[in-house]
Amino acid sequence: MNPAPLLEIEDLKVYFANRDGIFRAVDGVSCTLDPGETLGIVGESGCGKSVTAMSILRLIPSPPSVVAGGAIRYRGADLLQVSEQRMREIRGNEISMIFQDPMTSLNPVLTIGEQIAETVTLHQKLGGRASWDRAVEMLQLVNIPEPVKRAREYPHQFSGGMRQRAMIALALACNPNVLIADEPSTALDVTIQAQILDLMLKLKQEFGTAIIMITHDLGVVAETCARVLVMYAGRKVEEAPVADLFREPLHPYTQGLLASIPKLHTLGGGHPGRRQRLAEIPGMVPSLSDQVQGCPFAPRCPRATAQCREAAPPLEPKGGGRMVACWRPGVDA
Amino acid sequence: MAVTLANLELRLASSSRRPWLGFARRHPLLVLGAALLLVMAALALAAPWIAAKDPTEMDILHRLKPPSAEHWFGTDALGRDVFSRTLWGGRVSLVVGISVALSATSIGVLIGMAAGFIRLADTLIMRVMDGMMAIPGILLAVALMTLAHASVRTVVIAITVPEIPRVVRLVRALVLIIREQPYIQAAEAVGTRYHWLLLRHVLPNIVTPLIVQATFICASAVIFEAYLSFLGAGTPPEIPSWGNMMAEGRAVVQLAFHIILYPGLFLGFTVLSINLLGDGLRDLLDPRIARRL
Repeated sequence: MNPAPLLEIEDLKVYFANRDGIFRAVDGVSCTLDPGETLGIVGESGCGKSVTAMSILRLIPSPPSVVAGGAIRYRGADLLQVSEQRMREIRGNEISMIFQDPMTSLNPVLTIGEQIAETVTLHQKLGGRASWDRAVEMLQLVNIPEPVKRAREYPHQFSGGMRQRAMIALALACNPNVLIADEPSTALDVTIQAQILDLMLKLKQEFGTAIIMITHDLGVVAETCARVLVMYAGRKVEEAPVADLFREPLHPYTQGLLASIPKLHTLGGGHPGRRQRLAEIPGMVPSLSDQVQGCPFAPRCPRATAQCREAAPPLEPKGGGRMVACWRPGVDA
Repeated sequence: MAVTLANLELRLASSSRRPWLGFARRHPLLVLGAALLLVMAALALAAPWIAAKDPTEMDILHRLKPPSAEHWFGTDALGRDVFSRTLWGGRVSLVVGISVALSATSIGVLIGMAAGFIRLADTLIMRVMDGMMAIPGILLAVALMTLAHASVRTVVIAITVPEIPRVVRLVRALVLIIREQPYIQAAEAVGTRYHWLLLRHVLPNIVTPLIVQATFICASAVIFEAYLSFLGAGTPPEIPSWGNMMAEGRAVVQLAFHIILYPGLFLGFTVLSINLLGDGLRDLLDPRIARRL
């Protein structure tokens, strides 16, 4: 297939231990990311998307977390094994991250310019003046008007969308190879969301950055990603190129997710005056501390059989770069 | 509506023409406290020039004299001029207050940041601080004073030590809140080094409450110094201080009330001014209290 991928996660297991037991937040997830690619990770709240992302940068405090197994290879080196010193060089410089809430992800007592310039100074060994110029240049690049003046302002003087753009400027200031975006548009309203996503795609093309887009919004995935990974209860249940996933989802969970997107014709289009109810996936995400026997989705699955409740299905390749973990994939309910 | 808008514009215009006046109107406590404190400090600093009489010079013939043109605040049991002693005493109080505030805050910040960031150190430090707080401050200070030769420096140390635990607790609590903030994690995610994280990202976020706390420590140190001197465990008797003066005047309070009155008034006003300043600073620096026009 391809030459060596840029980033490769192999059978990653991250558990949290507390007095109530062990929470399997991430339980055997594997995936690869090629240079310049955009990979989407979707799933409900608490399915382990963010923990997977944070593990790549080793940002999860341990204790309480334990990496119980697996490897995260970046250019051949296992990030779970490298020294803290090397990890700091990688963070922000080679792999960057954007967080969900732009209102709280910027330090309120430092100006926007200072925060960007600081990172540039740290990684690029540039002088103060050059770093500042780079900060202004980055703000310009993310379409902040009057960047020279704005760089001297504090986060509270920025609107939510501007702050998220400033975060993107901060994350891309050192020209990283990988950008991890953890729900970058969730906290923003829809028009600003679109602006932010467009901006990320534009910059990705300009810089050749590979993006891991973590979201619970399939619309975001459809707009931005080339390949999608669907997670459920800490496991990868399906992986597919984005077009295939939307055209023909194989896992019943993915099918449920797609069915629960509101569509214009379901809102009373077919039968005037009569509205169809929006489809939902019944039940709740299982608690991650429960020792699940069988497929974790079985209790909510419309097609579950005795086999599903007894043994967890293995992840099987389905051709065309697709993978699914289901005993009865693809059958429409 | 139109009237209030016009009013608003008028007030905006007037405050922009004389920004100082607008500031004083918005923060009356702060300005009052600062002005009062400035007067106190100026009197203490200018003591050698304003108070023409030597504060330690005794005059047995003029003992316990009430206030007069010669001796503005009267004389004490040894015939010393109460006015000059009060002004000179202010120097001791202010030096002690400011030094204690600075040293207790800076030592407290170091220990508190260590407690907030190093899990292992936290338990140890906080138990020691709990222990220190279990001993009444005045007893701890008296005990410390008996260990060393009495001087202004020992007084400062003796008052600083019991103040430290309060700062440590404040700093630790703030650090525990701030280090969980997303921007700290975001800073970590771009590779910021540990010590830099502390200095540049955490410290500036706790400076505001610290400044306010420092003013309260300053006020409490001024009182503390007077306590200690009053008990005879503070500033040595050859240096005039408000506590000393009141202790000496205690025996003759029925004959010469003024010996206690003036240092007492000065002490009260100084502490009041520092507390007003602290309250005013808190309102000024706390962004949650809405800025009124």
